[in-house]
Amino acid sequence: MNLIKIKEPMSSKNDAKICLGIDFGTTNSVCSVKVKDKFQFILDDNGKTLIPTLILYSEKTKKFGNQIIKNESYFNSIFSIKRNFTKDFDKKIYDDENGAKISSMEVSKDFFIYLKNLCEKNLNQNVFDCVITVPAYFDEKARSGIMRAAFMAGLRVRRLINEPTAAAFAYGLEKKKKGIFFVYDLGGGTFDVSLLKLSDGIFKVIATSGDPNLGGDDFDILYAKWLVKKYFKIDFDSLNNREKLKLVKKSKLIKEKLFETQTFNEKLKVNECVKEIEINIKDFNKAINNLIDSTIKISLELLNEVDVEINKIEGFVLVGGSSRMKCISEKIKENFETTIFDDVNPDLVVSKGAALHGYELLNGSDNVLLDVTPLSLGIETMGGLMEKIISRNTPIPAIKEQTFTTHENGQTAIKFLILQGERETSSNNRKLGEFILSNIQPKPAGIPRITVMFSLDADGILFVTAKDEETGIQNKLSVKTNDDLDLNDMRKIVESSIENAKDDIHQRMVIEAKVKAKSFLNEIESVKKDIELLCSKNDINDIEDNVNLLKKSLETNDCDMINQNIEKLNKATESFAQKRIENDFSQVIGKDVDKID
Amino acid sequence: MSVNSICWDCENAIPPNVFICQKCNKIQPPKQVDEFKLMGISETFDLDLDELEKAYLKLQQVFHPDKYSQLSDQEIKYSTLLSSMINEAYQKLNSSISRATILLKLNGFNPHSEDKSFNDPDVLEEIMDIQNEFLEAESSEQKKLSIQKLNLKISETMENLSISFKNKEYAIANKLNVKLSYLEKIRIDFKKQL
Ligand SMILES: [Zn+2]
Repeated sequence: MNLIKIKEPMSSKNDAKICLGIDFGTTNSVCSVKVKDKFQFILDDNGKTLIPTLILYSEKTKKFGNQIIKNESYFNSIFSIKRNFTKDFDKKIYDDENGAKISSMEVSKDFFIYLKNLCEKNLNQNVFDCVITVPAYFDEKARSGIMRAAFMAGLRVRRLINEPTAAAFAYGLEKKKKGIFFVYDLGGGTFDVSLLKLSDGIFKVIATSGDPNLGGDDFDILYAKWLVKKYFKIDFDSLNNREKLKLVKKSKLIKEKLFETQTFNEKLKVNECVKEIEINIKDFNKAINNLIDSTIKISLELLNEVDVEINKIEGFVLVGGSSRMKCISEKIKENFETTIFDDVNPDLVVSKGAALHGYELLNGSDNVLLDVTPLSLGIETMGGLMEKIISRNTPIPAIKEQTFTTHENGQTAIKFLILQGERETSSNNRKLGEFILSNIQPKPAGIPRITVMFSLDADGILFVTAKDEETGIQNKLSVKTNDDLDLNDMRKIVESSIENAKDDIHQRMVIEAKVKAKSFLNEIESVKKDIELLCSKNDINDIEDNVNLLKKSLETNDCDMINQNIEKLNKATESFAQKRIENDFSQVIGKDVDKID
Repeated sequence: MSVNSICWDCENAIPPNVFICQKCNKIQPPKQVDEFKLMGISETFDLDLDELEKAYLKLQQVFHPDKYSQLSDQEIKYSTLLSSMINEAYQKLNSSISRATILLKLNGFNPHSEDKSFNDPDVLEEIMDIQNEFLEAESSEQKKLSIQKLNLKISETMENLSISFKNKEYAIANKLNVKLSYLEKIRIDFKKQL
């Protein structure tokens, strides 16, 4: 390709835009920002950069982070909320300060609001833009869940970047490093490994792997189990939850003390029984040995998978608070005979990388970050097998197409099941969502050509489209839960809410109203045919008028008006909803698909 | 013959293989272009992979969506499409097998899908021998030795493939490429079993 002219940097440094770098961690979160030429960490009210990811809802008040640490209700607070993103984060399992049931995503939204407010207090101005880091090995659902929580908090997420990539970015820029580096990132709840090539201004991820459910928390639990068994002859699992939590927290404190001292005495209390015990690093290492070994195994497998010789690697960069354990660097040296770079603060480097990248996104730069997708993406085909469309470690953005056909004569609908993972049988992989492409022209089996397009954007977020080549009928799907909005739609809502918002609270109310309105409109759009079939002319016109009214109010930031118009549309569709239930529509049943070579 | 397209914004003429308007500097929608032209490198099997990487990174420095995050939805979309195209072209050219396939297509030779055309008994026997040797190897030292043998065979095939491209013998090149893809599959298999 002929490069005629390379673009100029976007703006001068005088009006440099601000973009937060948010490392939303399992145990601790860190925010930082580059303002003009100065980089700084955000401090909380106690002057701390490391903000425990803790949320406490108690009568009519919310508390966060270090506000809770010395609080007597510490053990009532919500720990490790990030871990829920690899599970069902929409389940309403927590009680908020007013006793209402809320989901993990909503809890995280509150935490993001707390972080946003802290940043604004530090910087003395409104801040909307941010780059958020996510574990490299997080799947689609977890990524989009985190993005959604941040959007609902009124943050405009400019980019999601992988934690080890962010760390390598900050490290490479700061230390001016070149060559191939292995990032070993052991956080509170997740483990990531990434192999990166750093050259002049270019940060290219070669491959990545990890375990989204392995982190420092697991070491604490394992060590706590070992301690009660050894000194109290009690089975940890027989203790009540509060007692377990206390022990795990104690075990965490002991672990951190072991970073500094090899042996010391400690009082341990289990079920009102207190014992003074001798703590030493050897016992600790023994207790957690299996977990360390599994991180080494994942590292070895990654190196084996990519054709990079160990002697071509400059060394291992240790990232994540849990990588401070001495036994980790020892094990790495033992297995890889390599240099270890631990000259960064493993707790802070990820947020720094995000902030530096965010600054460059908004203010222009010659540096470029090239990342890959950690897990393969595909769809289910005949016999419950997964057909990979984008394989793991493919550079992103990536757009891939694959053509499929019908399995039965006269088949008019196809159900697509979107999967993520490395296993051959689809049931062993994570199900991201499904959609049905209907109105296919009835043809003999194997004749229709259905093109499925997977588009993975630079945030690592997947959008899927299926198209019948003959009729041109398309169906879109973004990975989302239930009737939530497409992330691109949500991004637009956040953007439009930023202008003219009176304050933070008003902005979030606007976002909430718009998200609700947009989902409602999407729902109406999807049943348009049924409305035409079931409703009287008057009703159809009434619905249409109210749809237009609601659409119009979406252009404003008047949340009262938007909510009123949602109510009106709700009324207008009441009789339709009733008729629909009575009619008991038989759903289109999707059938399996075959791949066309 | 390739023809000029028109800039979506200022209607200036855009030459083929160009994706940034020379007049208004705006990014252009993707166009059909082969991988070598996209990368701006010469059409040969004997690629210098470092050169390829350099070209690739230079393009991503211009077209990656990070460079457009502040611009219109349309420009973000074009950069995502172009950046994906560049990623894919790089991956394809970086592998000898898909590079050979691209070259065969560009020279009007339609490469058959491997299972249909793979029936050369001599090659089959050769591959069977390698597999058997690996399976029968008792120590990991012996296994490594047999992998070394396989690697030798791979580089030998690559050399022959390169010669056949130079001589424009595409039927032979196609056969060698099928053989190469088999050898590569075995190599990955062996590695997993080590
Ligand atoms: Zn132009």
